[in-house]
Amino acid sequence: MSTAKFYSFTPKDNKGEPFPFTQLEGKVVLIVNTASKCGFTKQYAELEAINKKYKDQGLVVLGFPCNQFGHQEPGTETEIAEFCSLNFGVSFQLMKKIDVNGSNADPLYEYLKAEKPGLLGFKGIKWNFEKFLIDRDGKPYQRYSSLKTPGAMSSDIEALLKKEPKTAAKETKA
Amino acid sequence: MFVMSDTEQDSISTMTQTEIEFEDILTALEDCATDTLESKDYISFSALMDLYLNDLTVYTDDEKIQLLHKLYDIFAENYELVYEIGWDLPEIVFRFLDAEWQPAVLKLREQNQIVLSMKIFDVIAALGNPKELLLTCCELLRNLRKGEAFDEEFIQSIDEPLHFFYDLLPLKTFTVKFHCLTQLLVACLARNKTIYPSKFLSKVSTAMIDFMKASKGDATLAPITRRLYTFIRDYIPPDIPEDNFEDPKDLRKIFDDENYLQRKLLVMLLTVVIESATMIGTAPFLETVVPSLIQRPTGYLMKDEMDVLCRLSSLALSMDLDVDSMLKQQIVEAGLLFKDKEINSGDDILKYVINDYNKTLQEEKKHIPMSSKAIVILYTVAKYLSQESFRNDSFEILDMISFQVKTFVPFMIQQNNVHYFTVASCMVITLNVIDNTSPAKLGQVLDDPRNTVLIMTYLQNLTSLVFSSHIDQLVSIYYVLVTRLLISMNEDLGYQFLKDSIYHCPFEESKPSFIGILKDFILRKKVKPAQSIPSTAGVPNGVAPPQLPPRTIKPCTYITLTDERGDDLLNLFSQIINETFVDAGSDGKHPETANLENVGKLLSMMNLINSVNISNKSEVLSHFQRLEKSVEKSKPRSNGKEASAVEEKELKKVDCQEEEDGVTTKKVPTKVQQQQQNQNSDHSQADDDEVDAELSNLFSLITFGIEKGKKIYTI
Repeated sequence: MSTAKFYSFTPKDNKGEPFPFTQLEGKVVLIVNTASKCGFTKQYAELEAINKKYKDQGLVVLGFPCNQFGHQEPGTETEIAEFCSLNFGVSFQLMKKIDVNGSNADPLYEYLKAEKPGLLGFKGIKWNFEKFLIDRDGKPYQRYSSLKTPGAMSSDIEALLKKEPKTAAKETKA
Repeated sequence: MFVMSDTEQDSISTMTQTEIEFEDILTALEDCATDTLESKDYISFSALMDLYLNDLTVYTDDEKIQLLHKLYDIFAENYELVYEIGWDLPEIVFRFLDAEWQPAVLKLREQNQIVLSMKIFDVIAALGNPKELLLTCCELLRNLRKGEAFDEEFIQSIDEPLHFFYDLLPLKTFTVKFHCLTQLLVACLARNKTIYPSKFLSKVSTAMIDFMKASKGDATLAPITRRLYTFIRDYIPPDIPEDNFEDPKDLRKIFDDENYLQRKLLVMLLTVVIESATMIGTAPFLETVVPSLIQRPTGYLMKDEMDVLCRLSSLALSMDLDVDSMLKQQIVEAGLLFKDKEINSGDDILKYVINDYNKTLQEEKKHIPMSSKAIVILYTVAKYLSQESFRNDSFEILDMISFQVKTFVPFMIQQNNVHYFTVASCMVITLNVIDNTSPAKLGQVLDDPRNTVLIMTYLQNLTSLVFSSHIDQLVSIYYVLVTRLLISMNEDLGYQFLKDSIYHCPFEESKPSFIGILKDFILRKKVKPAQSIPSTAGVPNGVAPPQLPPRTIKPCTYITLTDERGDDLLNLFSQIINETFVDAGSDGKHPETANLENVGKLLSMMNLINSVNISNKSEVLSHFQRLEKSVEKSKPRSNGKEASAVEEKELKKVDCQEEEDGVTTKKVPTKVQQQQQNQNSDHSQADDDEVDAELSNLFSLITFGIEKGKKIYTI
């Protein structure tokens, strides 16, 4: 079992059920803070495309709705899921709405921000659709701004998918 | 060397422009651009532009557009020229924006001169010398001001549909110029490849701050604040130059230091932007966040401005400013400033605040502190406007009062420092603190004699700030806040504060409301906490003692009307009568002059006297009789009738309202005030009649109050 801190988090999914990250061990994970009324909302479609493309190779996409940027995610979890499904055919896991900045920020985001600070060393999330890519060992690999489209991250995703997790490699050697 | 004077140049310029065919000017510009590139004499082209474009009034709108087209074509094709003379170009393009244009479409994107000017700015941004342009843009930004509004006479002389166009024109031009300059600055910052980007960012930041400070109200406009917000949010440091030969280790250090400096500069800029943006908007902010506490809401919510404030607060969070913990720290520190200190007067408080300020100045700074104004505003906007939830949002009431005393001291010392949005923010937080504090705890703190001077200083400072603001919404929540604090305070202290305010507050308009609050406190019954049932524990054999006979508990009010306080009220009544009716002659035979500005206060006082039960009835009666005589002497002769049924109804309405909220402010009708102010000026008969009618109404209200009082107090 991996000791990576990333796997110790148990955020809630969009139905309010615990979603232990231990189930993500050995996967490449893409975490993104989403909003339904943002100029970047069309990235949902690209996120779904890469989800479909790489799901079988071990990519997991997790969307965390957040209403902290321009109040662009005002709906409930049900409304958000309905919107994503109807407009973009989203099938990847949507999570419970959270805060990503401020003293009530979700602990997962506190961890990711500290591990991968943004431009100039500011830790805070700047806007909707910022992304964190986590490798198969649960280590945050890269942080991407809202401007970086999911499609443009393909090469990084593919590179991480090609890597075997260290724990698995050790087990194979043993 | 032959040097022409400015006058000579001007005359040549005018002559040249009028005598040369317009087509020739276009050709001259084009030819000169070509020649310049060959001769490398770039100054010649600048001089030619100055010659032809100095005075744009000689051109028609169509010609001006052709000139802009020509300039755009020349610059887009001659990279070198733009690089060499880019420094001069923003000002020249601004001349076109400032020029007079025939009114056309309202939409900016459909106005040719604006579209073309912005296209030229794009070329300058892409091709100009970034260092030179950065300096010239900073200079232009510092001096950028909104143009004067068009003369009312001119506006009236044109067709009505165009009024709107001309009303908005100065604002639109100002906004476009600001947008062009900031876009150019963003481009220059990005193109200046350097390992020391903070140097350039600091120049831009200070220019922006200078602009905000100097342009005052203009920089608070939503489009300007929004542009500043996007500048901070989207700032990206430039690339490192290719010819950088720093040791990688040193480079890492420089890089880290530079990141730190840039973070600090952006945070500083953000705090100035939030302070500047909230120079206005106190009223709509309060109407949005505490609508139920506003007595006469205007419904003018300035949604654009409020939206930008929300954006700024979310930007602060993304820049790692934990505004709640920062505010909490400041509030706790303010509490410690006065804790266990000997405070005998307001001077002691001032001394502690000033000592603390000096100590902070002398301390070696580990970090640049943020202004408490910016923190409190960012917190309030985030929590109450943006509905952010915070972990550190419970504050102690005494710490909160201490924080406000400390924050308000600079406001009290220098009028220029006053920031009403900060005052409003503090009041909203304080109301929330009161809500979240148990009545017992609140009473314990506010009743503690050690806190008396601090609390009284706070209330006095707050009163002064609120009433000098002339913001009705601020006054509304002031009354709510003061009432809620007074309820929990020691009765003597509360009474003393109200009495002092009625006697000494320099803001006359506040007095009727203070009298209303006093009346409310004398009449309102206190909600007594339920008495606990005596425990039988410890009683021998567990046998309870026999029940005591029921006691008659006299219901208690927030302020008990003792004989001494009754005398105070009568003295006050007498003083108000004296202030309202001034004897014009020493022989007592001359008619008295009514000081109409005092009538509101007099009516409130009569309402108080008639609502409470003063034991010295004969004294009350004698005051009413004196008042009756004064009214008789100064009453307008033609309108000496009794209060009509309608007027009685009006007075009753005032009574009822006062009983409901205790904070009614009665204002003397403006027409009457106008009459006083313009005694020697001419006005129409209709105006006079209207004023007479209002005057008569006021006297009827006073007469009605006297009659009522006489009935109540007749033994």
